[in-house]
Amino acid sequence: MYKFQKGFYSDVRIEDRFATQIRLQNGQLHEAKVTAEKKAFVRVFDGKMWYYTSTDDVNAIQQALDELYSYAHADENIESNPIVSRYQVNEDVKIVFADRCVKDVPFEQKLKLITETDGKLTGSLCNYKSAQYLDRYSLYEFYSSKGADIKYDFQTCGVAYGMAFAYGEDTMQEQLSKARTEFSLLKYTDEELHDFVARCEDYIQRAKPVEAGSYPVVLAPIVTGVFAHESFGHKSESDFMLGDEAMAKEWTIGKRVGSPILTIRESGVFEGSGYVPYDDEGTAATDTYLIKNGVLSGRLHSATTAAALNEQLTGNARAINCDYEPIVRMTTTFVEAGDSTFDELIAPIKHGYYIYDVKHGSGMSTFTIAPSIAYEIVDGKVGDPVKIAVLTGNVFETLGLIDGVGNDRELLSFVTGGCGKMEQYPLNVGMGGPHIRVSKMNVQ
Amino acid sequence: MKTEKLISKESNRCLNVVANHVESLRINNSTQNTFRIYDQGMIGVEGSLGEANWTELEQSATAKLAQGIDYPETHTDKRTLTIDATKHVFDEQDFIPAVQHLLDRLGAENPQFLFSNKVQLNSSEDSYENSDGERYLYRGNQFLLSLAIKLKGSPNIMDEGYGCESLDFDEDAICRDVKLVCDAFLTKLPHVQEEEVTVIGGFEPLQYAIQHLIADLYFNHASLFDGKLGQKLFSDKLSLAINRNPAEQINLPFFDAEGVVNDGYVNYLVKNGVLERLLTCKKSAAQYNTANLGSAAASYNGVPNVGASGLDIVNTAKDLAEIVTGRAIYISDTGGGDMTPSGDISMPVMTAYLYEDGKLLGKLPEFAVSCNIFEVLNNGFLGVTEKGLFEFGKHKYLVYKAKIVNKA
Repeated sequence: MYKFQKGFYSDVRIEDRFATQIRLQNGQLHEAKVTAEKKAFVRVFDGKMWYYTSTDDVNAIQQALDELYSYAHADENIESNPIVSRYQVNEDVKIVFADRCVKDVPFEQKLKLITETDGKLTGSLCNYKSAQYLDRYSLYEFYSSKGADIKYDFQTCGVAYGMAFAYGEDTMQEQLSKARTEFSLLKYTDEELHDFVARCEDYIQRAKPVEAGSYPVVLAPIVTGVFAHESFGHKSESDFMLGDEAMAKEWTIGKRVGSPILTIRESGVFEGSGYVPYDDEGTAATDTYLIKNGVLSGRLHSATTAAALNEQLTGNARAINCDYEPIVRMTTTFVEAGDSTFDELIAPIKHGYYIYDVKHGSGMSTFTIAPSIAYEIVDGKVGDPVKIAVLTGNVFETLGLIDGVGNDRELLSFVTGGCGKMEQYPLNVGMGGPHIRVSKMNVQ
Repeated sequence: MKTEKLISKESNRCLNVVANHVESLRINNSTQNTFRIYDQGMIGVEGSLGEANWTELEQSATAKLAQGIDYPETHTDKRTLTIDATKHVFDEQDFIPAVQHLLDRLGAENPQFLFSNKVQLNSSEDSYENSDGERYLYRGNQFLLSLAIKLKGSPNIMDEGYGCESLDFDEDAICRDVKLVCDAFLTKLPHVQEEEVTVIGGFEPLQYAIQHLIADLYFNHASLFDGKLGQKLFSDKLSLAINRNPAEQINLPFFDAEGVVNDGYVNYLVKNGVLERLLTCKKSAAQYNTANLGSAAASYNGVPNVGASGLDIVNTAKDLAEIVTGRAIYISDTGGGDMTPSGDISMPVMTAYLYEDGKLLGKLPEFAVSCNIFEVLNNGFLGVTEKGLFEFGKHKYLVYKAKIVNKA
């Protein structure tokens, strides 16, 4: 297939991407775009440095490889390099979406879906609406100088209905969205649409300000997912430990890092927006416990970080597309279910908050969650809607403050946005968990 | 009928830096082509990557007129303008050695820290032409430094950042800037006692106002500034513009995605506190019968939409000393943040320093700041300047009043 030169490790990743984007604004068609791109990303490693390039001409891949070889310096012992020796040599064809491919759904059906749904979304306080249909089918190929030969596919499709509400001096924008791997699963029922508008209109009319402070909070599954991703998922990406021996010692597997009822898992095997059967270095997906019963149990790796920390590959070397090199990223990250019902979680709270939905989150030493809709909890019952700008907390302190885990785990996919890490945004990821209760979070 | 052709070429050399060492070189060269046709109030768009087949693109775009996407057909006078704003930064063979030398020096001068992330040399060539005879060509480049700074042994992914864009490379100036931050980071200070403080930061509070300046939201009564177009709404000192002046911006074409070139390359959203215009493309400007700001953006195969490239706050002072008297807090990194439906903003602060008389005295514990969007752009707005803390590259500091909450 390709002439890989001796003395180097090399690989070629090809993505044949089909994507649709349709957008309505106030019912009027504003975008109707079908994209077909085939690109390749080429890597050469000489044991000291990596050399990368990308091309949109897949007939020029050999030329791209040869150009990179001209920058690098051959190493006859490259096969025994600790990074190179870790690379798996998988040979596999894993095509799972061909019989339900979004490429085969006529454009008119996609347009009709959002046009009809958009027409049903009406509210007396809503002045502005947008509706989007988005899909993507990617066929990946991966070849390496060690002999890897993999072909697999990925698919996502979804709808996102945005509505802007105004009441008095207040304004808010909220989105109802759904991401699936099959077009036929994207419809909302009339009841779901009605409930969404009713909840938003109730919120903007009745939501009251909160007094900044520390309160017990209960997070809905989507918020739990964002919390797990932002608070601990990013810290589990091992590239931040490279070159820092003190850090590696501090993060010893087996260290207690959270409440004993907390378990966080990470895996690319689940069908959804975090489905990654092979990562962008050709490593097969694994199932990694990041935290098991409050104890640090694993972390996420590329071959470089696995070699540096002398650990196993996890299938987490990912790039957002064929313009970028793979770096350590999450796939689907979630909190495992516990045994409490929602009512049991809120029952002991005298005064706290229920975070129903979230706009975005971020996480460093402090994590931040920006709720879109939240409610007061008073004497163990969900009360009035409240206006909260952000929830924050120290990551490690907060992981230890989780004192209730629900029995209602959900794994969620997303059609808009995605995960950002340095220059690479957005990356499709999944996340989720059950309702969880945290005894104390900063509410502002 | 009107047609437009756009070509965007980018060349990128990107070094990945891991713990003070250049780990990789990435070479990207790409070309994107766009053909648009406007006819009978509709638009058709097609795009491609690499070498363009304009005949095929035109045929495909013409077929897409049948999709029925409304778009106004505007016409202009003939005009041709070419601006080459490129400046020599490195010979290609010197790039890796120069960056590794810089990293060696940063590591030696700041032994308690590790430096990672990206250093890039980018260049671009953007052209726009239409059937009315407008022809624009822009060439630009940039040196982009984005360092994640980590205190050795810290449990954080990163503890500080130093980044900027420039059209030159000055190792001494970069080293002085980074040392300033690293030294201040190592000096731990207690919380300040004041409840309200002067903040020196980036444009974070402004980002929450931007979406409320989009014409589509404004004219559908979904903006916090509803009904206020033409009114004095903000501080006299606040002027907010789309600035595509090649003499002031780095690697940014002087025209927007629809070939709009503003007088002097600048057009104001807010001038001296008055809300003068809104963020528009040609479609939204026509739809709401309002002036076009010239802030359109578009993907290579997509319909033009509203963008905000070149968004800039006009400087109010030559340096920070003119704006800040006494003590202030320099916020280097906020950990997200957001705004309530009433315009109340809250931002957790990850890294902040006490600033006094032009110096960073030391690092403050974590806290959060809160302010209201109307206050922070009015009485709370103290000014904007490009000069103050750092010597190298392009920086801009927004100075405003905010309350401190949630002291750790």
